[in-house]
Amino acid sequence: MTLPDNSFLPAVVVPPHMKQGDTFRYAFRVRDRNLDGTPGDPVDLTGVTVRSQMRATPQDAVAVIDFDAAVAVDQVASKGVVLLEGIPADTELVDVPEGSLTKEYYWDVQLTYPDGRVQTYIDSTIIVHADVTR
Amino acid sequence: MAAEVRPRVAKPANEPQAGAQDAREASKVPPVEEAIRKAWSKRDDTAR
Repeated sequence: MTLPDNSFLPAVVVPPHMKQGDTFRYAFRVRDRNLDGTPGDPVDLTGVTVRSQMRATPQDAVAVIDFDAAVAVDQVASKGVVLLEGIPADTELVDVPEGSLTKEYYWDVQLTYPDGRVQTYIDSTIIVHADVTR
Repeated sequence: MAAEVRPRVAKPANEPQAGAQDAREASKVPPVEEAIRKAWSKRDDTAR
């Protein structure tokens, strides 16, 4: 059973790590929430589109990376699964200041359902590590 | 001396055992790792 939409808050996840110049991959599964607060069944995401961007600050006009994001094609074996990928050509352009090992960026993941409903499921940061071997 | 003897009542064979409901609930949802692994695999196969 799903709670009303206005009860929804995006998850603040443990920030994933991205290495400059490497392929970045991230995946998660969307599940309903039972009335008692426990996770319910995975949600069928057929027809859902996914957008995910990373910015230096949430207010920045320019996105640093526009991830290749989509729901799993097979919504039976991988019901509710969302996949995101940043290719090396994009991750190598992410700035990490001179003399720093890492820099924190902001990202979220937005799903648009066939009925037009837009829901943000992840609202968090990504820790980008400077490339050394290049 | 008379002893009171009460008949023993056997549990019906189909009576759910403790935890059985939880196990059934858990079995409905495949592990997230497996669902994600299959999703990447399918995507990589399609990309080839």
